[in-house]
Parts: sequence; structure tokens; C-alpha cells
Amino acid sequence: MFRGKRRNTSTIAKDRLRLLVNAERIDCSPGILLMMKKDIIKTVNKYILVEEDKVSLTFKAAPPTLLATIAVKKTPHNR
Amino acid sequence: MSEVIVVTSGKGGVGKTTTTANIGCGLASLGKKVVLVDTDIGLRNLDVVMGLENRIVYNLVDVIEGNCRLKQALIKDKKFPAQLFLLPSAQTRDKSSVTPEQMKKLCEDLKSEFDYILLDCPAGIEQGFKNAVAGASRALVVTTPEVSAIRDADRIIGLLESDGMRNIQLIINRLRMDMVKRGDMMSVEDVVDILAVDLIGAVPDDENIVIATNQGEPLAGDTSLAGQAYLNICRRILGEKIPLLDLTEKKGFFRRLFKKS
Repeated sequence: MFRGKRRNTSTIAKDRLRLLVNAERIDCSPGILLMMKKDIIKTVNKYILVEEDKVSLTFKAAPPTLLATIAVKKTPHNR
Repeated sequence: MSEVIVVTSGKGGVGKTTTTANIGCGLASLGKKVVLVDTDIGLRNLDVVMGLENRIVYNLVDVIEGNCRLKQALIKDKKFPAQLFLLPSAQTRDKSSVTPEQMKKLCEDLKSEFDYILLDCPAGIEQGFKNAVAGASRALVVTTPEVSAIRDADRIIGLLESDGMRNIQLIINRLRMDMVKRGDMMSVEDVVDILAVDLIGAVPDDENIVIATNQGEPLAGDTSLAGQAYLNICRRILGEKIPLLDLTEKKGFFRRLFKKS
């Protein structure tokens, strides 16, 4: 009954894992990955407005690739 | 054409040995000639899960050191004596008594006799893991839907890939559909999404597994949900296209009513 407000713990687990697994795949700590993500957002924001909560970093193994998915804010011009 | 498959996980206690025993049993029931090799030197377990612990005379290290012939060390299974065999591990030695080259040679020797050679890998990423992986051309990575097990599975998949393993498939063990439905356990899709690897099957958390292990009789192929799930995995190993089993427990109204927890 009182659990209504609690977030699904499976979603929490999935979010934690995604960050952790991506960090370990490129051999850096989750904290550093978060810092890098913030820096990427900051940098891109200088040029295009970014949807900050819709940015994700993933890592692919072969060939080793870092993929940043960055959602851009809708403006009257890029609709 | 025979195939060497390693069953691995990184994290301990996720069900590697149970999985190996049940897949071996399932493949044997489907008419294949199978040998299970326990590569966990110093901590053997597969013998008790198979219920063959009292029949061990020689072991893996004896074979590798030439103290006996390969056939002398193979133990016939109780249920499928013509199809299923166990090569037990040594209990009083350590992992450094075997090298990856020796394991490769052993797997090659076994290939002439068996359709499937299943290697039960020890937990961890050290020598024992390297030994077990050396001779295999296919890996089944076992995980549970928990953060720690999935993290280790990802590490193992990375190590296998960098080792040149092409054929890596995932088994998700101990799923509890009631918890998945509540949103308190990651689903099969969630786990596959994170690990980005092919799924070969999911096995429910089933008390029949404990009962079967107590008796030393794998349950692959029986009427239990886990038994069916294991048999489906075996069929997929053989290349059949089988849809994923519905893991939701079918409970009768009265059973649900009287169930205490």
C-alpha cells in the first residue's frame, strides 16, 4: 500500500548496472564516467541545446567504440 | 561433429554446476553422447549434483598426469549409463596442476568419443577459468537477475570475447516471475539488454532444483518448470528453434489461498 511511491527496484538495478557495466567496459570508474558525461553535455551545450536527462553513454566492444546518444532540445528552427 | 562447451559465470553460486548437470542430462536424453568435465580442481561439486560421488576412483588430474587411462576415469551416469559420463575433478590438488594446453589436449581426446563435451568452469577469472575456456568453442554464460551476477557476467563475456570466443550465449537462472511482475526483479529482456549477448534460455527459480540436487538426480526433461526450461535449452543447443517458455507458475486457486508466504 505504501509502496506506491517507491520506484521499481528493478529499474534502480538496471540503471545502476548500465552505468557500472559501461564504466567497466572502458576501464574507468562510474564516477569518472559521470564526470565525462557532464563535460560532454557542457561542451555540446555551448553549440546546441541538449536535453540533459536524455543523454546516455554506451560502450561497444568490437571495435572498441564509445557511443554518446545526445537528445537535442526542440527549438523553432530544428523541429 | 562434436562440440566443446564451457559453462561459466564469473560469480560463484549462480548455478553453473546445476546447469552443467541438467544440460548434460538433457542432451543425453535427446540421444547425444555427452561427457561432463568438472574443471574446478580442489572444489569438486559436479559429482554430488549428479549423485556419482561414491563411484570416483580416478580424476581429471590423474588423466592429465598419466596415472590412468582416460576411460578408467570416466564414470557412467545412473540414469543414462550409455549416453552420459562424468570426468570428476581432483579434490586434493590445486588449480596450478593443470595447464590450458593440457586441457585443450584432453578436450581433443574426448572429441573422438563424445558428441558434446561440457566443461563446468570454476568461479572467478584466474587459472581455473583460463584452463576451462582453453579447449572450448562455445560458452554458456550463466547469470541470475541480480546486479552482482550480471556485472560479473559482463566481465566474463568481455574476457571471452578478447580471448577469441565467437559463440557466447546467455542463460538467465533463478528467475522469479512474481517479482518481475511486481517490478522488483529485472526481466529477461532487461538482462539481455544490458549484456547485449544472445540468450539461449531462462530457468525459473524452482524448488524442484533443490529437491533434485538433494537426491543427486538432475531434473532436465521432467514435468517441473525448471526441467522443461533445461530441456528447451538443450534443444536450442542442438539447433532447434524453440520459443521461450512461459515461466509463470500455474498455481491452482486453493494452493494460492493456502500458501503462507
